Amino acid sequence: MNAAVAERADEIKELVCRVLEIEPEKVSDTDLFTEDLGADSMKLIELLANLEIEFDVEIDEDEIERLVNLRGVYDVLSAALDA
Amino acid sequence: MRRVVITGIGVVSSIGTGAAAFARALREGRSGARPIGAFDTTGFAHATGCEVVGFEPERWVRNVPLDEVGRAARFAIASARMALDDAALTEEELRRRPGLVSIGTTDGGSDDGERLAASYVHSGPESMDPVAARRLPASTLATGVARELGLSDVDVSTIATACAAGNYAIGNGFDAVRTGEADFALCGGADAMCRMTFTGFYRLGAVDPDGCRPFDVNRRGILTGEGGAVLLLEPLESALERGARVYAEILGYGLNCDAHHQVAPDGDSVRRCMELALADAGVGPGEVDLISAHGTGTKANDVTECGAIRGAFGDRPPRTVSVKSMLGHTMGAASALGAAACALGIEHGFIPPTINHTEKDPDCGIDCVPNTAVEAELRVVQNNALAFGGNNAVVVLGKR
Amino acid sequence: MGPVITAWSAISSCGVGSAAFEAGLVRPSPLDDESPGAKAFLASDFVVREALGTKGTGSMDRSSALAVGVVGELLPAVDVDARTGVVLGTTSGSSQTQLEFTRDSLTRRKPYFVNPASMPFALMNSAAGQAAIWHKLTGPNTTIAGGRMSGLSVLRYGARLLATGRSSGVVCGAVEEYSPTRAWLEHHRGATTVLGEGAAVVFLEPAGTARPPLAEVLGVATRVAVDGGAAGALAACLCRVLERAGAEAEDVRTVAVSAQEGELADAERTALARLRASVVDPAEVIGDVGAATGPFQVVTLLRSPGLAVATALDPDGTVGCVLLRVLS
Repeated sequence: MNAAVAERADEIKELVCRVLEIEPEKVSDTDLFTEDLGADSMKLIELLANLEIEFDVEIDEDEIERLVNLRGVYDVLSAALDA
Repeated sequence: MRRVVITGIGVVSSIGTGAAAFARALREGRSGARPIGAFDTTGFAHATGCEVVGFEPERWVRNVPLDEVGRAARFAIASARMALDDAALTEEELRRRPGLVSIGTTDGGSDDGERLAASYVHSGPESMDPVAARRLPASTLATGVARELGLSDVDVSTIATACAAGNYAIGNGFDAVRTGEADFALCGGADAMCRMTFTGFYRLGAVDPDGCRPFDVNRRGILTGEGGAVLLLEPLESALERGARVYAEILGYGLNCDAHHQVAPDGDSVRRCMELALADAGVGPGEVDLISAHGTGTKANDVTECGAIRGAFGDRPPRTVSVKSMLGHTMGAASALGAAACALGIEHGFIPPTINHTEKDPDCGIDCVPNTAVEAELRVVQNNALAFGGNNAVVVLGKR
Repeated sequence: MGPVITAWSAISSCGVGSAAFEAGLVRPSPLDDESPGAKAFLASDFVVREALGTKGTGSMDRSSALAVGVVGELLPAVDVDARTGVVLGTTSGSSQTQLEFTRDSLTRRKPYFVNPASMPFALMNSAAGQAAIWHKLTGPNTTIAGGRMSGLSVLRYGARLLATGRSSGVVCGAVEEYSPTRAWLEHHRGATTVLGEGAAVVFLEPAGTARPPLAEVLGVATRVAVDGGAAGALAACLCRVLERAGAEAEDVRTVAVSAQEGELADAERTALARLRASVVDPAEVIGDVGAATGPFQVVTLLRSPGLAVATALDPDGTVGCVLLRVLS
C-alpha cells in the first residue's frame, strides 16, 4: 500500500461505505463488495468515479475488476497514485 | 374502436432528412457517426456521435420566432411539417379537426440548459440568458409544433419518458385516434445532442469510441445521437376517403415498468411488455416478421433484450435489427425513428441492416441482418423501446 | 360515468400527508442561499433521509424523493395490482441536479469526473420511475413535461389509460422541487411569485370500484392559444367541458385558479368572469409550485361538494380546464 493511501485508509473506507451504502463497522478489508455486500456493477462504476474525483487521479476502467474488496481499493488507488 | 394508420412520415436524422432520404440511407446502411461538434469535447479520450449536420431550421420553422424554440423543438417542428407534407395534408385541413400532438424526449431543452449552466458557473446566475431560460421547458417541443402549424384544438403533450418516449408518444396518439378523441395525431420524438447525456454514458463506460455495434461480440456501447421523427396518424377510414398513401397500420402497443432497477433492464419485464403489445395488436408471436430492437449496443442491454425476445418468441425469433447502429442513440427520438424505419420497411419491402457488424455475440442469439439490407415482404413489425427508470414501450405495426 | 378520484395525498410547506395539507398552515421559509427572492414555501417537514432512509437516496434528486414520498403516503388507501400505473407531470425535472452534473463536468480537472449515479436522477422521468421502483408499481409509467398544464395532462392521459384498459388504476400527479437553480430560471423568465415546492397525487380509477369516489372527472379540455388570445381559448375550453357534461356555467360552485400575476392571471380572470363560483387559490397557502399547481388545485377542490373547475395556463401558450363533480 502506498503511503498516501495508508494515511487516508479510514477516509477511503468511509467513501467506499458511503457509495455502497453500508455501515463502516460491518466491513472488513476482505469482505467482497458484490458477493458479501450486495453491490451491483453500477455501484462499482460509481465507486471508481468517486475515487477518481476524491483523489484527483485517473484510474483505468479495467481496474474495476480489481475493486472487489477494500484491500483491492487500496491496491488500485496505490497503483494509480504511483503511476 | 377505429383502425389507425400512418399516412405521413417526417424525419430529421444524421443519415438523412425527409422520409425518402431516410429510407434510402437505411437501405444503404449509412452511418451517421462523426466527431462531436455540438459541445466542447476537450478532455474526453474519445467523442464520436451521430449529429445532424446542415440542418436549416428556418426552412421549417416559419411562424414561431426561432429564438423561442431550442434545437430539439426545431427538430420536432421540422419533422411535423415534413409529415404533414408527406401525408398531402395542409395546415388548414388539420385546423378544422380535433387532434393530438405528442412529442417524446429525453433531454428536452438540455442543450440550452447546459449553456445556462455554463453562464451560472462562470459568470454567476445573474448572467443567464432570459431568452434561453424561457424556451428551456420541454413542453415547448409539442406546443412548438402546434403553434407553428396554427393548431389550436389539439391535445398537446411532451412525453418525457427518457429513451422510450417516442414509442410512448406514438401509443398516446394511437389511443386518441382509435377512441375517437382525436381525428389525427402528430406524434413522435425529438432530442438534441447534449453534453450531459454524453458525459453520463461516457462515465458509465458505455460509449463506443468509434461506432455503434449492437449484438456484436466486440460492442462497447452507444454513440449519442440527435434527430427527430414525427408520424401523422389518422383513422383508416379518412385515409381511404381521401385516397391517401398508407405506409402502415398501428396494430397496438404495450407499456409497463420494470419497477426494479434504475438503469439495468429486467428481462422478464421487457418480455412481458412485448407480450402486452402483441396481445393489444391481436397478433401471435409467430406472425411477427421483424423486430426493430432497442439495440443500444451496450453489453447489458443487448443480452437482456435478446433474452427477453427469445422468451417471448422462442428459440427462433424473427430477424432483429438495430437502427441505432446507423443513427446512434437519439434518446427520446430513438423509438420514433425506429417506428419510422419500420413503416418505411413495410412500405418499401426491405429490412434495414445492423451495420458495423463483424462477429455475432453468441449470447444474443438472433439474426441481426448484418451490414446489408435485405428485401423482404413485411406484414407485422415490432418496435422496441426501453428506458432508464425501467420504462418499456413496444409498438406493433402492420401492413395495410 | 367518467373515471373517479378515490384517494389523494400531498407533500408541501404545510407538511407531509393529506391531513397536514387540510390543516393548511401558511408557512413560508426565509431563504439564506443566494437565490433571488427572500422566502419560499419549502416542504421542510419532508427530510429525505428520515422519510425514505439512507439506502438508495444518496444521489437522489429532491423531485424523485418527493414523488417516492407522496406515492408512499397515498398507497395505503388504495389497492394496487400489476397494471397500476404512475403518471407524473414536471416542468424540467430536477434542474438543480442537471446544473450540478454539468457544473462538475465543466469545472473539474477531467470533464468526466462526475458522479455517474446522478445521471439517471437528472432525467425528467426519474420521479415517476423511482416512485414505481420503491413501491413496485409495474403498470404504465409515464412522465409528461406539461409545465403548468401538468395537472390537466396527467388526468387526461390517465383517463385514456383506463379507457383503453392499459391500467386498472393510475396514480396521477406532479412534483416540483424548490432549488436555487429553479429560482434563478424563474427569475430570468420574469416570474415574481413566491416559489413553493411540493407534490400532490390522486388515485384515478374507473367508476364502480370498492372505494367510494371523492370526485368524478367529467372532462378535460385544452387549447393552444395560437393567436395569443389566452382568455378566449380558456373560455372555449370551459364551454366545451360544461357542454359535454350537460351543465351550465352557473352550476359551477367552486373554481380553483392557477395564475398569480401578469397576463396569464388577467386572462384567467377574464375567462372566468361569467362564473358565479367561489374562487380558491392554493398558491396562497403553498406558493407557486409550478407543475404541481394543477394537482394541488384538484385536491383543494375535493373539499367543496358540487361542480368544480380547475383552470391552467402555461406561458408556452396552452390553456385548459378540468370539470369535476365533487361528492359530499
